[in-house]
Amino acid sequence: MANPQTGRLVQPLDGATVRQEWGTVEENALRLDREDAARVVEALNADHAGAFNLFYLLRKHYWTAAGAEHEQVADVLKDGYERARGLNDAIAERITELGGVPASTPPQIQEYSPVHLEAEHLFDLRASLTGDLEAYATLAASMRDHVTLAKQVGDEATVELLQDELEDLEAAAHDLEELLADDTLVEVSR
Amino acid sequence: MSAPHLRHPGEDALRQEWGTVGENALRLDTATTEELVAALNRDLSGLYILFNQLRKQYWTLSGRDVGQVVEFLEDAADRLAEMTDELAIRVVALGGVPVNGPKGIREHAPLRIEAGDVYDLRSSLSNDLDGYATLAVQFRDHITLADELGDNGTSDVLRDHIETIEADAHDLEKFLADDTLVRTN
Repeated sequence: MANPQTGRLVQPLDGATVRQEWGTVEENALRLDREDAARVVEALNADHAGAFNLFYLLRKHYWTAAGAEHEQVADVLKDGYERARGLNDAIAERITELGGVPASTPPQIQEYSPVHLEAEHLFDLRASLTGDLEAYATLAASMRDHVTLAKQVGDEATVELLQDELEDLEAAAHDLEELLADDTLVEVSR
Repeated sequence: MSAPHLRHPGEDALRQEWGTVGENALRLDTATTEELVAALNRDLSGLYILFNQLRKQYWTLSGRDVGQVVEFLEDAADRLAEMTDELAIRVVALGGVPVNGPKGIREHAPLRIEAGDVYDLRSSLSNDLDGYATLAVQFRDHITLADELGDNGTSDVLRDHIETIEADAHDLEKFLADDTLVRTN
């Protein structure tokens, strides 16, 4: 095989059978109208991709804090990234229950995500965490819009999933907010 | 790969540029740490790709009757996440910037990324096994490299995890040897 660092990094899997194409929505076992399910899948893919990027942002900052031995900051960030990953998994599984395919390649994730990744340099912790707080707010706003959509099409299970996850997301954002309000972060930022 | 919009908190907040290796508190010289950081970033890129490949598979397999496979993939992804953290934190300690986004993943990629379609189970698991095999070879090479360069900290981190990689590869082999996997396709 050619070197993965040149040419297209994302490739169809050689010799495999495609069971379901990206972007399609199959019949679901939930008795939801297929067009309604397709609208919810499209919306959830944005939340899914947003949670995916939030997970990577928080984890990047966890590495930086842990590598510099800022234990208190590192603990909050580790807890935050684990919760973001759980949210990411929960939304992805709902997408498949609805008959859809969750976004998985980097181009798909970046196309769908309302949360932007950070440039690949290392930044001051306070600036990094301020950006993470914005990422939480962006994702929560997207999920709230999709609660409304799911209510419109009568998809109660998605409504409940998003509402439960929103509560958890807001609690995690609050933990980060408290860290930013704390003076210790001023010292570790330099 | 598309060029995503990236958040940039501004030059004032910039502490270290991607691709650079700064001072470290471990008394290793920079020529040594540059080589180690490049090696670990290649491992991190591979771990990123394999981790997301396993996650894609357990997301799309959920609800299908595939026995222990989903559970295995979830647990194996957790193990990959744990070693990713330890390697990335080691890169920071060595004065480097760990792979943390699409550009770095591409620059150091030892594996290709599966397209976004859902594939049959047997082909998916075979691709996972290839990924584990590639990582196992790399980890072994990098243990030798770290030993040669006198960085016991890095070779210890890698040694801690090579057994996990080999054990999970072996479990995948057993799933693939099982005839029931053919029937569930």
